[in-house]
Formats: sequence, structure tokens, C-alpha cells
Amino acid sequence: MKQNDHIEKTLNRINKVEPSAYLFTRIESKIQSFTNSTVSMKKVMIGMALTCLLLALNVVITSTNSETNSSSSTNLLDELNMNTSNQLYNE
Amino acid sequence: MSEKNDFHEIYKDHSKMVFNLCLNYLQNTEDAEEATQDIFVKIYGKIDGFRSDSTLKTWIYRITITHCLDVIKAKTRQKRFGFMQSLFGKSGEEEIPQKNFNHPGVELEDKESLQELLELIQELPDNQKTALILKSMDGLAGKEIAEIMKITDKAVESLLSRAKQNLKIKLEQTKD
Repeated sequence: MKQNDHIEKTLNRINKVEPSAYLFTRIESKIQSFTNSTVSMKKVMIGMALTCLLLALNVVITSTNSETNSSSSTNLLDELNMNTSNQLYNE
Repeated sequence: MSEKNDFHEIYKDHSKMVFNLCLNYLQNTEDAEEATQDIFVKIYGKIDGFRSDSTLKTWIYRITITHCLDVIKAKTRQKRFGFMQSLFGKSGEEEIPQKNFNHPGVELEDKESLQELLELIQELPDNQKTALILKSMDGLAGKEIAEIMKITDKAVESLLSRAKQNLKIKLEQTKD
């Protein structure tokens, strides 16, 4: 019991102190850098929509290009009278 | 603009409490200042989610306690990692300096005895440590501590008596 009182008394001797006067300014600048570094949801959504649009456009362009490419290459092979099969020797 | 003013009001009303609580947990001015900054950034970010089922003071107390305990855990991990590194002889990497006891609320003549006592308090389990700091160093009533820790008044009393008992044992061990 005596020891408990001693602990209480010793701990009660700790004084309360005031934080530094510049602490709030530092907190404000930390909040400022935090809000600047975070990207808003609106910007994320716009970015995602643009990426999707770009991907869709890519798919459309490559599919139309491959159709025209294949037809032009077969025309060229016909003109040059080239063999298009993998068979090298006629046995 | 008003949001900024509101936050400044919250800071003015609670900064002393947050800073002193951080000091009592971390026992170092630099760490306490850094923790206070982080806590107020957290408060700023979470203030919209604050529900009035507890008072603002209680809510800020909870954020402060959780943050300080996390900082202590991180420091303990750092110490353990440093020890492991020294065991395996990795001397090339930079060592993290350990900060010394530096509590501006402690008078010079009490420094030695309080430093010893506060170091022993650090060794207590988290809930006992919290109850003791809130009661003996922050001067809160049992009911307030119970609300902050979300436990009953009796549980607070039991935690306090166990904390003091454990401290007594630790103090006797250090004397031997």
C-alpha cells in the first residue's frame, strides 16, 4: 500500500507542458502536403474512363487493320505466284 | 475557411492534452512532437467520420492512445531488427539511433527516479499501461478512463491494481 502511494506521488510530480508554438504550422504544412499528394476520386474516374476509351479504340483499329492487311498480302502472293503451304517437297 | 477555423479550434482545445499524453507514452520530446503532428493529421482526415456517440475529447484520447501504442510497437520492432542485424554482423548498414529519455515535464531532481519508473511502466501490458498513465499522469477519473478504454469502471480498477502490483514487483527486482 505504501509502495502504491509512492508510485502515485512520484507520477503526480510530472508537470504538464505546453507544446511548441510552431507545432500547428508544421501540422498545417503536413496536411497541405497530404492533400496535395492524394488524388481525388473524380480524377481517378476520368483517368479510368480515358484508359477504357483508348483500349476500345485500339481494339477497333487493330481489327480493321488486320482484315485489310491479310487481303493485301494474299493478293501479293498470288501475283508473285508463291507457294503459301508449309510443304517443301512434292513426293 | 470555416473548416480551417474549426480545426484550429480543435487544435487549441486539445493540443496540450495530446502532446502531454504522447510525452507520457513516448518519454521523448521529439517523438511526442512528431506523434502529435501525425495525430492531428489523422484527426483532420477522420473528423467527417466522427460520430457523436462519444465526446470529441474521448475520441481524440482514443486516437492518441492507439497512435502512441503503434509508435512504441514500431520502435520495439526496430530495436529487435537492430539486435538481429548486430547478431548476424551486418555492420555496413546505417544504425537507427535510439532516442534518450527527454521529458520536459520532469524536474531535474526527480529525473532519475521518474526515468526508472517510466521505463518500468513501458514494460507493462498495453491496457495496464494505458490505465495507469490516464489515472496517475493525466489525472482522469475512473469513469472517464472506462469510457475511453470502452470497459467497465470495475475493469479499470482491476487494471490499475494489477499495474501497480506489477510495478511494485519490478521495482523490487531492480533494487535487488
